[in-house]
Amino acid sequence: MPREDHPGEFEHLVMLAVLRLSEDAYGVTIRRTISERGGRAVSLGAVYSALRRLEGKGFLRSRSGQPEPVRGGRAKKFFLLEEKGLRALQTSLSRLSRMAADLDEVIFPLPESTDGGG
Amino acid sequence: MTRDDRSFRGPWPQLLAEWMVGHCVPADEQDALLGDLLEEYGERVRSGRRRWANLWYWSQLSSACGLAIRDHARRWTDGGWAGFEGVRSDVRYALRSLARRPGFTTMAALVMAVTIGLNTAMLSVVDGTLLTRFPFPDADRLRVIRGTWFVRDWSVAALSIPELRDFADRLETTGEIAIIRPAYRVGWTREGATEPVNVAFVTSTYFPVLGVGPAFGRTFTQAEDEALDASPVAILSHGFWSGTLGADSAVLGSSVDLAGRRFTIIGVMPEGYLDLGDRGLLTGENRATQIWLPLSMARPFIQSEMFESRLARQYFGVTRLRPGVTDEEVRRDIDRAAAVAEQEFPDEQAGWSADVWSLRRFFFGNMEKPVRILLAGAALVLLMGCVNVAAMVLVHVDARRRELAVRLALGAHRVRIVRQIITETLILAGLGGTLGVLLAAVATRRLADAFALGLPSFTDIGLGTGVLVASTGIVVLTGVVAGLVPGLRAGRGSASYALSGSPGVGMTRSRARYGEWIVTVQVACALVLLIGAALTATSLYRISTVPTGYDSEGLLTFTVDLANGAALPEDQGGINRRWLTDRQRRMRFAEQFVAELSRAPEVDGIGLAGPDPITHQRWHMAITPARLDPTIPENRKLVQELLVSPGALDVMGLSLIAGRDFDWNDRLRFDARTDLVTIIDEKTAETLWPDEDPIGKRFYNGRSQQSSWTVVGLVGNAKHRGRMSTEASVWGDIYVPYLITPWRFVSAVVRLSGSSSDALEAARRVLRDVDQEAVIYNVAMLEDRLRRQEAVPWFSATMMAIYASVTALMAIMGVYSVLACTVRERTRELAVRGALGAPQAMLLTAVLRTGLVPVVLGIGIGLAASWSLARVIESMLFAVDATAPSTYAAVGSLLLLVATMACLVPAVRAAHIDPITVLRSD
Repeated sequence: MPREDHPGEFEHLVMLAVLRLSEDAYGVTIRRTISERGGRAVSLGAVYSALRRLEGKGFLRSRSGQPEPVRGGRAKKFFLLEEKGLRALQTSLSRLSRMAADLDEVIFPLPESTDGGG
Repeated sequence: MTRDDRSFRGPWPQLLAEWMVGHCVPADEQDALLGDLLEEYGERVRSGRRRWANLWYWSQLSSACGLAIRDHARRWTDGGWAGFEGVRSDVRYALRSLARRPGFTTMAALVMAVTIGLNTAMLSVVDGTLLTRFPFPDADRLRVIRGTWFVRDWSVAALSIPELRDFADRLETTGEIAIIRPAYRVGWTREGATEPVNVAFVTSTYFPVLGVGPAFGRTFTQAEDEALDASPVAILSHGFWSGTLGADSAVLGSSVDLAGRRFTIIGVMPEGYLDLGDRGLLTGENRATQIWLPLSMARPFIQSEMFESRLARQYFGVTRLRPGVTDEEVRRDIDRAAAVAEQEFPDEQAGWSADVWSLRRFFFGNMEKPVRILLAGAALVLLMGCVNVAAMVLVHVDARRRELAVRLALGAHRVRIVRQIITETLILAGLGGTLGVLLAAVATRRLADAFALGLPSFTDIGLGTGVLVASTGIVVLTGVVAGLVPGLRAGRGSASYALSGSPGVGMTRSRARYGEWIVTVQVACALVLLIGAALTATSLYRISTVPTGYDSEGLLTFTVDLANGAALPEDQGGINRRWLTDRQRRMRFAEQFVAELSRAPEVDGIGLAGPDPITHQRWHMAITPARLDPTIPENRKLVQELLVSPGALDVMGLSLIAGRDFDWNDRLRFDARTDLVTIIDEKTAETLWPDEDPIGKRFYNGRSQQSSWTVVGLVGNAKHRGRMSTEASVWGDIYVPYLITPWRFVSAVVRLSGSSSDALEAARRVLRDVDQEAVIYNVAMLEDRLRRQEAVPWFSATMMAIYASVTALMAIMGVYSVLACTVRERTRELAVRGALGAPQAMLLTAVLRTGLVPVVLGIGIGLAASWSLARVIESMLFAVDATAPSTYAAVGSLLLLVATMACLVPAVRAAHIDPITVLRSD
């Protein structure tokens, strides 16, 4: 269970998706971004759960959009990254990259090409 | 929520989706979530896979709802929801807290132990009786046919073979009707020694109707059933075969010698098979059937008239309801058939009909209602126990208010505190429950021993798995229920409030209100059970004081089977001839046995009687006073007939009011076909010759004037069926000299001068001299016979008394402790009032009033509840009016009195508070 100011991995994904989508971050797009770009299949409920947590921690802020026919006349709930969220993201990502520096070869070893295939 | 456009809708049923989201997901997310779901769903539908889209929609929706609930719960529990670590620390905390308060812990665990123990004991009784699964296919449709006379719910009558054959011919609502004559004791001779075995005579249809086959071998064929007196075959019970015969594998084709006849064994019934004969309805003795013989074989055992007479009601029918037929329809059908029979045989059939009994009613009918009521009573005790423990915990919670407030202030979550308190009560319930189950294990065995007197022999009352599972459930339930109210209360308090110093007035008042409610509930429950106990105890007392007519103290009874046949050549000239021969032998026996045993020093007096005293085995005679015409049915009165030897009435304690006893010469009159003599009881005298001296009067037996009897003596009324039988009051009794119709089974009544075992030894000794084939069985003191019949009322009264004392004790403790608590909390107020000049008496009454208001309220509720339950409890009472105001008034005032005394202690303390000491310390 991630503590107050340390977002967990999934929360990172959600925050990065929100950042990436900028003005167009809401449930459907966030979910799609994570699964298509991040390559992780995820349910809408899980996304909402994370959004709820992040909003509770003050990392995200939300606003309501306009009702749309394609949504059965329901409004979207758009999310934006807060200053606090951005800072938390900075802290943890820089911590991560510092920790990972010079370890690329260990973490992502190149395939050993013995027969020159590929 | 604005929905200006509803052009696109989600999958059906959309209402369910909205309801789920509406109840699970936070309000500000609902629209967004539903919208998102619909948006993606639409895309999926458009790509052409509607079915997959539906599946996707619902799975996404469910998981979203599930996650939302989880998140919600997590927020609420401060992240400690059901984590194992959390539970462990709760348990540690609770154990420490309980160990710090050994007094409280012991008290609470004891209350739990008693209440859970009582419930476990009652559950095992229910499990062993009412929940018995009968090992017959489709047992729900099996019915026993039993006789009724004038009144439908008459519980004791069997039927005669002609009556059952009538039903078999005439009933349309039932299948085949098989016949059983259960619980017949027969001498079994092996290696020169004879001992009694329990035999049932059944028709060949009996086992097929029940739907059971033998473990090995075969059951009876129709030919064996019909051939009179010529098919000596026997089926053994598994117990008899494996126990007594040592599980001899070559048993089939071998033989058993019963009453001097050799029977070929053709089958052994399976283990666990239970028989209708296991319930000794007629004899009151519940013994497992050991051997089954074809009903045709009953002829050599039972006098032929007992076989063919419509009055010889010793048999039961067994049948299956036809599909779709209800008991009510069968009863109507039976009444129709009985009406036909009554027209044909007005003498014998007047008023007789039959009833169908389910197996449960047949085996446990006499205890079904009491057991249910007792189970409900146990539940009430359990409720009391919960309330009691809750009250104790509540007091403790209030005492810990400051600690709890500090913990709340330091960020402990409310749910955590509720959990901890429930953990505490759960541990208490667990402790108490373990103790209680152990208690129940001991108690059940004891109770079962006493209670089992009234139970079929297969009944096994004990702690089975089912009972243990149920008890565990009760433990958990008790723990949670007892902890919930105090727990919620502890979690609700505000930190600043409780920390502010002096105990707040508001808090005290709300605690006091809880306390008052608890007292009210406790007093009400206790009163209901006290009234129940008073009623059942009165009932038991009434039963015990019903005059049986017998002088039952020091009266030993046993049955002697004058085994016949062996001394006689096989069938010479038919049944009647044999019977006559036997008669000579039995007469000789009777005279010798009585004469020799009466000389024994261990015996004060000896008589013979038949059938057995204090059983439902009765014979009847339709008699007409000689001044009236016996062919007119209205003139004939049905009476019970008893055979007695000279002196027997005196030994039993039925002393003569007028006339003379029989003497041994009376048989000479019979031989000479002169006047037959009889002794009648007062009731018969009143029925036949009201306001006249019956001595010297004559009556006819049956329809003809051939058999005429002269009354030579008058005795008081007796209850030969037992004290609880109300139906015996319908008949009068007439006594007939044993020598006139020497019955094969004869009961000896022995007035003891010493110990019963000495007397029995003497009887066996005499019997060996007189008749070597005779067997003694059914040995019991007359008082034990009575006790056996009264096992259920005895059990009910005992259990009720236990319930009542436990709950009354708890209630009084509750009354006292709640008031004592209030006084403690109001010490300052009382001191101030004292200082301002309030007289002691005023303070005393003020406190008393505080204590007694909830008590009076509880008594009121309890009285009302008992009143409305009176009809229920009445069914288990004997000659007691469950609505008698005197009982209610007496028990109510007694409880009020004791409660007042309990209140008096704190009230007096309150009146004597010294204002100076209290106010100075403040």
